[in-house]
Amino acid sequence: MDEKNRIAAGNLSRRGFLAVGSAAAAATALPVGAGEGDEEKPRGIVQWRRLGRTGFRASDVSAGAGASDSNLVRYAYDLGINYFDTAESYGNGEHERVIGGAMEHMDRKKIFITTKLEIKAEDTEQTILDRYAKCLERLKTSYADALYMHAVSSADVVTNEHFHAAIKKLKEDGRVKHAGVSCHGPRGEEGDSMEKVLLAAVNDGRFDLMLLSYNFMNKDEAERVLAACKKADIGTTAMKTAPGAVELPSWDPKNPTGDLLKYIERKEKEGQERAKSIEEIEGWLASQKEAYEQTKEFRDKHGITSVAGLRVAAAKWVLQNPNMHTVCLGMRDFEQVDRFVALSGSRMQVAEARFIDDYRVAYSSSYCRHGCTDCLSQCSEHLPVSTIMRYAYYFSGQGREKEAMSKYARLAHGNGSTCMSCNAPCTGACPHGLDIRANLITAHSLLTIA
Amino acid sequence: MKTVLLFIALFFVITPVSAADFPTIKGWNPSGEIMTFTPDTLWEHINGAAETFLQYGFQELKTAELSNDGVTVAVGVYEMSSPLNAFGMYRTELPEDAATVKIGGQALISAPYQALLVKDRFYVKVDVYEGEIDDAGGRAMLEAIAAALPGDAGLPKVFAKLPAEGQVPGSQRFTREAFLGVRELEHCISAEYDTGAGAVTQLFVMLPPEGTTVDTVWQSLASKWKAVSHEPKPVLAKKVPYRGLVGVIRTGENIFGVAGSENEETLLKSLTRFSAGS
Repeated sequence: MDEKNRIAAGNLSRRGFLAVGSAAAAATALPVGAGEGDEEKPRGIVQWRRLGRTGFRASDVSAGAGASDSNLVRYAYDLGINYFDTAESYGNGEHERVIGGAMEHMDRKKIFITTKLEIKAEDTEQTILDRYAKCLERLKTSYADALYMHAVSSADVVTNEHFHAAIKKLKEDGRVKHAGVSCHGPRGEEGDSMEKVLLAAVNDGRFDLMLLSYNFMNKDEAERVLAACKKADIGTTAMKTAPGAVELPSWDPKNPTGDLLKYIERKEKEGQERAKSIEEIEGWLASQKEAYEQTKEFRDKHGITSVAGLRVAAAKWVLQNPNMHTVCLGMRDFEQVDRFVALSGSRMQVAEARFIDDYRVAYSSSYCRHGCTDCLSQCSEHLPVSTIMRYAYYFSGQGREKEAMSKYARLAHGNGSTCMSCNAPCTGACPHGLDIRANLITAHSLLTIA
Repeated sequence: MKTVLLFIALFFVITPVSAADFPTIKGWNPSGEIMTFTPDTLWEHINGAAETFLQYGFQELKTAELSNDGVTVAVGVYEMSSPLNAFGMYRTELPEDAATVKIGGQALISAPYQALLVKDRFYVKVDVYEGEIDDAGGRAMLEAIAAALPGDAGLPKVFAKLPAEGQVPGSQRFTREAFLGVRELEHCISAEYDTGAGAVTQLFVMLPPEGTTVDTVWQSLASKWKAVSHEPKPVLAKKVPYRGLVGVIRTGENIFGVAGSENEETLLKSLTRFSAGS
């Protein structure tokens, strides 16, 4: 730990002590406790981090969407969480109402409330002001600490002058303190990468806060953004911290059950043949299995057997990075609040962190991102690179050799055989460092037994 | 996916269509293509809000922009896996003090910017993008959409399990996960009841999720909650922060619950009265 962090840790320890004291007092003061066998008081937040140039010291664990009951917000606050993230679109404003329902039990000056508006092409300064006024009404507060542009998927949106004019007006009126931007990448195959959007926002200079996807699978991209934020002293919040699947739905095509059966029945009513629906489901399941396999090593290492376990381990990983100021987690029930608050101030063992880093590095340079099209414009043959690589993964990673070869054989627009005589204009086109030509030649060899 | 455009004779009157189609309303012209979203792509449309829809069994969304006389609205028809899930999702997005109206299963017109509707397994959201709608315009639009959607127009029949006497109108909810913020309380229908002098209590019934039975649900609760009474019927209870005691009673094929009791004595009285009247 460097000197700066040691000093910060010292300050935080004292704050942590006060917070635990406050949380314990709050728990004692409850009309009833957290359930039978609640002799053990839940641990409170023990670490706060400076939220960039806002100057606010945010709890390292913060509360995002998920709570459907105001008592959960109140409970999180009593345990020391002081940063609450919401959005106009979460439950049609319902999540703002849930936070608003707890407002009378919280000291407004000690909490940081952020809400978000998706900026539409037809928005004007006035529509943004009107929508934001509704947000404040639902939140039962006269101001929010930050108003974010929500889920920006194109870099040019960050300069939207209607939004910035509205922010200027709101700041003058004391109805908002800071502007922020949230992003987790393009929607579908359109739009810009998260990195491009957020670096454009950093360069714009008018945003004090950023909410970004950060997990052990998108480390490199997110950390480039974090480095830029650190340089500009921008506050950072992590979301989407737990990638991958932990459980796969049970599936028997001869005897489908549950939602999958309902899907088949619904499609039959619409005139789609059962076989077609089964094929669609199996395609979806294949992508789920792919995600499941991607995180297997991480899960095995940490003994993760449930989604809840994955979320805890992944959040712990995020907290290792001091450039990420708070990790925003959805808290649906009291148990979940207890579990996530307990992560505050947690440290991974050096060996654990090294393993995850090694794993990520090894995996990153061999993993062709599903749905990514970044390199396509560089391929003179217009090969479906990520599709071919997915088939190779089916072959080698899932043991579905025949299926993979069959799919590969049915590719309509060429295959990796053309790479052998190509001068590789794709070199350097993969933002994740894949050697595209070498990978496609290998895949072709694998999928054709060439 | 096929889309059938309907031609209607009267303003705001439309012909009923199958679930595969998007309601087309006389006088309102589509200003773009109809978009379809599946569970895999819903986040592209509503981002962080998608999680709750998926939790409530979201199947498919069809959305389109419609324009009429300077007003542009976005209509989203969310098809859920059951009428109960559609109602649960609708109720999740409904403001607590909303004055609902009887269109389809239930509806809300929040002029000038939004209107909501639930009917059978469909939840419909109308958001005004440009201009404004008034109450009459919102009502006419929702009535037209409701007429176009298939299925029953009432609330899900399972709400009959809750006693009618003293029930606060419009207070019914269906909560898939963590009712009252308590993890164990899944698949609960609930309503508020006026207990006199302005006091309100919340009664609920736990519905066994698909693939489970009342027995398995009860056994799971019994392993975590305190047994308060065994005779004449078993009762379990748990203290919930800021709410007091929450208890459940097993009567045959139903699990009834009461929230907010001060002590075990009042809890037992409330549960006994509730289960006897249902």
